[in-house]
Formats: sequence, structure tokens, C-alpha cells
Amino acid sequence: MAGNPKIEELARRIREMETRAGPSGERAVGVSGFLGPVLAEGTLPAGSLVEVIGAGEGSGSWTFALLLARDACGPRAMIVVDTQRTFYPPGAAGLGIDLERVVLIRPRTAAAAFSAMNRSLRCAGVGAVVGWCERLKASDNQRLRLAAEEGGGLGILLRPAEARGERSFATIRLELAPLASEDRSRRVRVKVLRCPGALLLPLAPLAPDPSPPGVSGGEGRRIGGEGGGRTFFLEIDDETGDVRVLSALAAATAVVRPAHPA
Amino acid sequence: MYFPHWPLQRLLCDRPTLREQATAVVEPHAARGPKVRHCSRRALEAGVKPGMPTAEVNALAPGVHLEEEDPRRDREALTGLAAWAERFSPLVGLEDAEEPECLLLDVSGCAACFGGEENLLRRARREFGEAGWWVRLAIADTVGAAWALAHCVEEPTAAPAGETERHLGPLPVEGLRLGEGTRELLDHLGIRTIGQVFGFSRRDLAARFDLELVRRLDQALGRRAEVIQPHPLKPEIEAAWEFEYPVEHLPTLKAVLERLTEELAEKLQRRRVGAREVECRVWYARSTPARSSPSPPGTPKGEGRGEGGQKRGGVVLGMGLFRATQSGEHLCGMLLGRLERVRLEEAVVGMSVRVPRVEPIPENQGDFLEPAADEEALARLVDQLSNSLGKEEVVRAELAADHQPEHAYRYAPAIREGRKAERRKGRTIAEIVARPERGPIRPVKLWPSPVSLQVWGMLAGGAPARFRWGSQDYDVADSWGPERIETGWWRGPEVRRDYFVLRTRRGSRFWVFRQAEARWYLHGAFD
Repeated sequence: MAGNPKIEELARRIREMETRAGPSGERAVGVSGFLGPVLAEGTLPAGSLVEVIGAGEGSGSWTFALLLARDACGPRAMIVVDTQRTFYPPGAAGLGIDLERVVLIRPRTAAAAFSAMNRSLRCAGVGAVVGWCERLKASDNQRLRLAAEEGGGLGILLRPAEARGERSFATIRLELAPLASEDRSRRVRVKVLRCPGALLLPLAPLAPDPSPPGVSGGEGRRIGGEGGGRTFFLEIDDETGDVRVLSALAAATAVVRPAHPA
Repeated sequence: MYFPHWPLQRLLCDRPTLREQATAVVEPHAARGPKVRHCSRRALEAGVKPGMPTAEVNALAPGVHLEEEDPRRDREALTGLAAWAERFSPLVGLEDAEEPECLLLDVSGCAACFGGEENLLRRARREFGEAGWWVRLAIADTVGAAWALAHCVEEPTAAPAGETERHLGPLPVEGLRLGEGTRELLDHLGIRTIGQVFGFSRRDLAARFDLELVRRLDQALGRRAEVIQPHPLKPEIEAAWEFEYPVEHLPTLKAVLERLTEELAEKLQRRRVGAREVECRVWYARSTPARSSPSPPGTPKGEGRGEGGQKRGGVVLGMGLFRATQSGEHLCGMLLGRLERVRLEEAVVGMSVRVPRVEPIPENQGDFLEPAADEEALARLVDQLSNSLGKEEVVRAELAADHQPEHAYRYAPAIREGRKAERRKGRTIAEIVARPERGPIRPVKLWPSPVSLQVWGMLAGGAPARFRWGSQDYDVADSWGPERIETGWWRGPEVRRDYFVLRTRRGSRFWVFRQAEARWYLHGAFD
């Protein structure tokens, strides 16, 4: 198969169609389930770096990151850089993540973790890389962004709350916080700290407060510009790995993707 | 190719005059004295049966010739037959058993040379028969299925591709190559056929029988690979270099390593195999004379003798690979990475590289949408990371059928087994058994050791109303549970835990347990 340019071109076109090429026609990663309320095409350009700033343990940021990686990976492998050595495979499997596709790296030092992330992001055979970075210099942040662009996969950096004010070269910066709810559903608030304008959904005029009913403490205000301040809400079912978007930004709330095929 | 009663067939081939006599092969060191293992038709007619003590044979039929078994000679003879059987396939091996009785042939793509699989079977049976061998033949998609058909079906059988399960169903469970204990248990439960085994859930199979049953079922159905080790073993693939004078210059060593790995790559490509392990040896002289020769292959590790007879030392760098490769560049890169981290104590007088373990390079048609280059790139990444971080740090996770959370999974080095990252045709039984379809929810983070908590108050249901973790207090808004998890006494310290999922007022979720109705611990987080 290799070496036949017509067949390779055909394969490339089919892959683009299946991964829903972005506005520029370049290869993209379909992540509509999570960032659909924000992204115009429901896709991210291949080679994006997503920085997820969590609100501490139990906030849902790892779950969010793993589900995002699951959707973005496609047939390629997922690399999880488990610096804290707390990744729990049965929990990930319960979210519908195929452990056959996951390579787990358990480095002992922050430097080794960075090197592993950098190399993994550069690899064309890797669909997504998920890793925790306690501290990250701006220059290293940039290197990871360049590595993701080279490899063409999706990089997802999990950061502590203290990293909010740091300089970042990530394509998209999100801040996650858990929400209390009146029922037992697990809800998280996703605030877009930064997203390139070209990727954004246009704002609707006279948008009402998008806080869904039954959610306390929601912020819901939508502010224009580079996606800063846009907020939406997700409901995650820990039993099935299903994710629902809860926001007036979406036309209707719907089950995005079941974790376990019927 | 199954040779029933192989030790007897081999004996009769070695000593044809015994064909005219009632003959039995005896196991001399069986429990409670020597016993008959195999007997000829004439011996059977005389009343001799397998398992009969020789004392009873002598009393019952004194004319029966008794011969002690000779496993070494049996294996040699079967190896000789393997060479002869190469007329049917270029890849012939002995079955992986202590006393093999079968030859395994990979006839993929060979049937066309014989006008089809049926013709291949007919011809093989005829040619072996003409040579005096009694052989039972079968062709199937997997080694396990072919073994079962050859052992359980008298006539040569070719199971069409994709119909393995249908052909295995009616066969007795003995066709699964099980140990005596498992067979007895199955018989005790009234399970006589492989089809009956199919009817059980996989979780039940793993829980009630040992993993051998699920492993053999996986092998028979093609969900677990089974590799044929070719016989006779071909010479090792290796290349060596001798320096005219001792060398300390690293770039020179690198250049030589590149050349040696290129040579290895050519040999791998000629043999159409890939390297799964590679080893580099670096020799240096502990003393003069300046010129000495590297030891020939087969010399004990780490030592060699120079022309002057002095002992030499050296360094051995070995590593496994995620995926079989024929790429000299990749092998060189891996070994260079190791070489650069080694502190050479002396100047080097010679180097060699060898491939201790090979695997056939699969020639499957490439997937249209998933370029082979991506697989190759992933394999190289895993090799490089394993090389630099250590193979225990680059792992794959496997679920285990265990209720205790910290034992519900295992990590295995990724380079131990180069499984593809793409989809499989079906999950292995162990995987299905261990992976709950819709089991209790589990957190995505689990602490290596549970963390002791200080708690206050109690909610309805038994969960704490408030707990302190580290320096922070958490107020509990809601809880789910308890989920009781306990293990048997044979595990060691008793585990009896009541697990709760706690949701705090801020919305965070944690997984805690109460041990023996006293202490509380934090074990994981739904992060």
C-alpha cells in the first residue's frame, strides 16, 4: 500500500472526512461532545494543546481530560503520563476507554515526565497525550505546543489552580470546577480562559443567562472576545461515561456519546 | 500433524522387528511402580491396557515385550520428522509440550501449491503412511483448533476459515489441551464438549476454573496468539567486529555499531523475521597484548579468551522491543542510547550484536485508513521511552478479576508483548472476565495506599458528615453506599471494607472506606 500516491491521497481524504476537517480544510480532531458549545465546527485543529486547570482533587478534571482524549484519539494510541502514580485503570475502563489503546508512562521525576510528554506529542502514532504538570515553565509550555503541532495529535495538560495566572501557549485554556447539584448527577463548570477567535462559535445576540435549572452557583455569563469568560456546563455519568452538555449555548441537551456501545 | 502413541511409533520405527510382537512402552518411574503408557494392537488383544502395572502385564501376558520410554530419543526423532515435513510448509515446529507428539505447520498460502487444503491433507497422509507413520491431520485457523481436530477426529479435517467455533463445538473438552485437574472438574460438572464450555459466561469460567481453561479457549478461538517455534532452530542472527587496536573513542564505536546493525537488518530481512530482542556485547582486554580476538559465539557471557590466553571482560547491553523490527536504524538507535549511558572501564577491542529472539514479520494487508507508519512510529516511541525510563515505567494496564481495588488491575511492560494498539477481532476471555460490563463505579484516581481520615458526624446510610484530609475540611452533601468488599483469609491480612462515594458541598467526589467499622480512609477520587 505504501508508495502508491493515489491510494495515499484517497486515504488522507477519507481520514479527513471521518475526523471532520476544520474550517481551513486541514486535519482536525473531533471533540464536539465537550467543546461543541464553544467551537464553531466542533473540532480542534490537529496538533492542538489543551490546558485544563482543575479546582483540586475530585473536581472532575482527569475525567474530563480522559474523555476528551478518548474522543480525539480515534484508532491511534493514547498516552497517559501518570506522574502522580494515581491513574486507576478500572476507573478509566468504566468510562469506556479501551485500555488496549493506552500506554501508561509512570516517570519518577518531573523532568522525565516532561520529556515523555514532549516525545509522545511528537509521535505521529499517538492520538492524544494526557499528563499532569505541577509546574511548567513558559518555554516548556511552548515546546509542548510545538511538539503537538509536529505530531498532529491532541495534547491535554492538567494543571493545578495556581497555574491560572501563568503564561501559556496552549491552543485552548479551560478552567474546570465541580458544581453542587440538587440531584446526584455530577456536573462540572467549564470556563474558557482562552480560545482562538477563528475557532469560536459566533455569539448569539441578547443571550440569556445560560445557567441550567437545578444548578447552584453557576456563572453562565458570556463575554465576547477570544473566548475568554465563556462558560458551559457538563453533566458526567460516572457509571456509563456519558457526557451531556448543559447549557443554553447548545440547541438542546443530548447524550453526546455513549461510553459502552449498545 | 498428530502422531498417536508417538513413543510407540518411534520405537517400532527404530526397531522394526518389534512390529511382529505385542509391544508396550513403559514409564519406569511412575508412582507405585512402572506402568504401561502405550501398547500395540497385539498387546491390547493380549489384555494389556495403558496404566497397567508391569508386574500385572508379566503375569497376564508374559509374551508382551516391554520397553522403557526414551523421551530424548522421541524428541530427536520428531525433530527429524519436522525437517522432512518442510516439504509441506517452510515453517514447521514441535508442539510446545514436555513430550511432544505433534508437528505444527503453518500452511498459510501453501495449500495452493498442492491444489487446495484437502489435497494437501491427502498427500501428507499418503506420504507419511508410505513411510510407515500413523498420522492424524487437521487444518484450522489456529494451532489450538487444529490440535483439537487432529486429536478428536479420525479423518483428516480442514475447518474452513472463520468456522472454527462451529467445528470445535462437538469435540470433547480433551481437545482443549487441559491439565488433568481441569478435565476432572469439567467431567464432574457434566461438561463433556467444547460447545458446552462456550455456553458459560467468561466470568464464571475464570472464577470456577484456573486460567488455563480460558487461555486454551482463547488460543483455540484465535483471541490469543500462539507462535510456532521453528525446528530445527536456525543459527542465531549476529554480527561481530574486531578492532585492530583498542578503541576508546565513542564516535568510532558508534560507527561500528551502525555497521553491525545494518548487517543484522540484512540478515533479518533475508530470513523474513524481525527482532524482538537485541543484544550488544562490548569486549575489552584487561591486559596486553594489544591484539586479541573477540570470543566466538557461544562463549560464556562476559568472558573471552584472547590469542594470548588472557581473560577479557566486557559489557552486555540487552533490550526487548515493542514490536518486531527489521530496521537497522531503529536497532542502532536503541543500542546507542544504552551505550552512551555506559561507563566503559577500558578501551574496547571488539563488539558484537545479536538477536536472541525473533518473530515472523506479519504480512497482513495494511489497513487502508491506518498507515503502517503510525504503528511503526508508536513502536519506536515505546522502545525509546522504555529504553530511557526503564521498561517498568512504560506499561500497559490489564484488568484482573479481583474485588480488592488495588488488585483489580496489573501493569505489564509495554515491550513485553507488542500488541497492536488497534482494534482486535474480539476481546480475550481474561479481558472480558475482568472488565465489568456495567459494574460498580470506580474512580479514575486511586491512591497507592489508602490515606487515613479524621471524620465527624454521620449521615443516614453511615457515611461521615465531615472529614479532614490533609489541612482541609470537607463537608459531605451526599453519599452512595456502602459497597462491601472483603477478601478471603488466604490472602493475608483480612480486608473488610465498606466503600462510600462522598459528594462534598462544593461538588467534589471522593471514594472512601471504613475498615472494620472503625477507621476511615480515603482511597480514590472521581477527579
